[in-house]
Amino acid sequence: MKPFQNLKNYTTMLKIQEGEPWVMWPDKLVGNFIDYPANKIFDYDGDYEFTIDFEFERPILKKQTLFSKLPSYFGFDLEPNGFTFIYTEEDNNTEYVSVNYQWQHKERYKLKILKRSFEIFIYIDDILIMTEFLKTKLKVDDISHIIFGAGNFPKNGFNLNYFSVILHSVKIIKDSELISDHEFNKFIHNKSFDLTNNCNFIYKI
Amino acid sequence: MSLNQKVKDKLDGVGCGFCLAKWTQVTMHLHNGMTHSCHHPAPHKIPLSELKNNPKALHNTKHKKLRRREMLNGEKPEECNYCWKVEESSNSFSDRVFKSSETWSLPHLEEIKDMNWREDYNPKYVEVSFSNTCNFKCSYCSPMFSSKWTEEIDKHGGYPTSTNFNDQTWVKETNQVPYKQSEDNPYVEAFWEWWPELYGDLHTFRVTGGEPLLSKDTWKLLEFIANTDTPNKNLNLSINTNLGVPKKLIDRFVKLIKKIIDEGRVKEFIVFTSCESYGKQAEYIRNGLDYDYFIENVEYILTEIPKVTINVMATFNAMSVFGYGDFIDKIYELKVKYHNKERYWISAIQLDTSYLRWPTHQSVKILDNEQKELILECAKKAFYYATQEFTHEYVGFSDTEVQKIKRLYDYAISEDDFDIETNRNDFITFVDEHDNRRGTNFIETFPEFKKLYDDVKNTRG
Repeated sequence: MKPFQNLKNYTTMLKIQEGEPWVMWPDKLVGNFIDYPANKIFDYDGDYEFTIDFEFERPILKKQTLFSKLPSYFGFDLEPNGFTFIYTEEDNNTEYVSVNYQWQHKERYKLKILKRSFEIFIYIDDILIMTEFLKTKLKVDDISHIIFGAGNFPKNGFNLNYFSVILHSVKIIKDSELISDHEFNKFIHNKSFDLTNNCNFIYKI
Repeated sequence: MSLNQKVKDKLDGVGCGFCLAKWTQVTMHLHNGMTHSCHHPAPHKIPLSELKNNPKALHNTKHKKLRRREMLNGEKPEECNYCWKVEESSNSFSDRVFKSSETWSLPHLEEIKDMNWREDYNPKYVEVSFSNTCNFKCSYCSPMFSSKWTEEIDKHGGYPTSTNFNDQTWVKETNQVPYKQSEDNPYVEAFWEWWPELYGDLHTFRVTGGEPLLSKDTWKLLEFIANTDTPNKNLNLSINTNLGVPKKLIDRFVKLIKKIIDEGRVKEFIVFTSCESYGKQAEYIRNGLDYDYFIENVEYILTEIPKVTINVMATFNAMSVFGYGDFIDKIYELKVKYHNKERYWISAIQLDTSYLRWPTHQSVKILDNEQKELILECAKKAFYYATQEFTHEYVGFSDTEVQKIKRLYDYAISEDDFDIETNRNDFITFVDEHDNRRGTNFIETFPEFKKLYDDVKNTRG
């Protein structure tokens, strides 16, 4: 039998509980396995697309982080009347871009962050919401990782902004290649199976 | 500066070929009187004349003392060529550095460098094989390490491959034929003469075979440790066993080990065993194995002895490729089921995958590309089972366990001068002969190999 042949579909979503974030950081567990770990996508100098399909069950009453890339911050926070997109430039300067937006709980949203050369485009449900022109390259880290449902690791105790959120899919495209694809219907050892078979899994911290 | 660099500098300060393992480490194949320090130099025969008045010659042979003299004089012994090649061709540290950095080596550097090369030295890391008696005849093993293989080769001769696999002419010509357990063995006698003194100095002692649990000397050794008034409580004790011996021996083993552990007579105890696939395919690879009984014994030991770790040494070969994914599932299941925080090592069970080099006809190199991809899939599966942190708090595969499977894939697809045609031909010759001699059925066990089998047969016409 092929190694993954007996995987069964269990669910079609990942329900992240408040205070229990998940992370994409496979190369922390085993180094040098993946040619280009998808958790480094926000460091990538070329073009990429990061798409996340999500919903939440309670109204947004405070800042809550959908995802954050650390250690040099790149992330997306939902707020009562909008969102803040945060990124860190090569010179360590951190930019906060806030945009008005009306969120509805119990609705699904498809957020797409598209980088083309020195521009970042943010789409929600295929509608372009904002464009950001980068003055410099983005800060690159050796140990980049993407946390879902928090702005930091719980053990660090600050900038947590926990978010109880349901993820329906996460897709990461580098140049034109799909390098990570999650529909959250297969899990192994608390790790969401990456449908590209690149092992860019997301796992419970 | 890294620890390895510091150690290398210290070694080079004595001599560019200085390696502590020549003093601190030994493997003694008592069943045929061969010895070497680390595994890189080929074993050499221990002259019985040297043993006559000095049992320490099991390790301190004249041959080895001359190599030590070379090391202390700033020369590089030819037999240690493996390390010199590494050092000359790269910036990597050779095993000379790693072996000398071990906790059973490095603390003895000052003492050793000031020694006269003629002096005997009690090793700290010892592996010993008392006998080649074994109830298995694994496909990649040989009469040297298995009495079952000896019986078969004595009866039928070597296999009709291009290498005449396991033919014993060379072994007989070089005086390496193992003693039978029923025969008086002067090497084993010398060992017991040396043992009371050696025991107190040991850091690590590992019993190999043959199948150690079928050797009376293994039991004598375990009984000694279980009952001595002066136990070496710093000893790291381990045993290689196929876990396929009769239940009463497994029971006796568990009982003795429990006593040794419960009375704090050792620092740690590890069981090393072997398996490289799942179910019937594993049984074909390791002739004599009853897979279900093997797993039953693994679980029995992990249940009865909550401090023990079992290390499964998997010599991954061409026949492992189809069942290894299922075997990884099983290992993971056992890791989870028997996880506790008191094991000597972090996992209850570890999978140590290495690749088979010999016999070449059973190497993963004979596989086609699609089959080789299954190795990568196995590595990926182990990757999914990886633990977040390799501590007692978490359960799963360690980075090393995963990397070793990935490394195997890298080896499988690497380009070299491997002769695929000859080795595939030998492989089919081997399994045909295996089926004839042992009443097995290769294609029934490995339907995945049908195409390769037919292709080879067709080219023969």
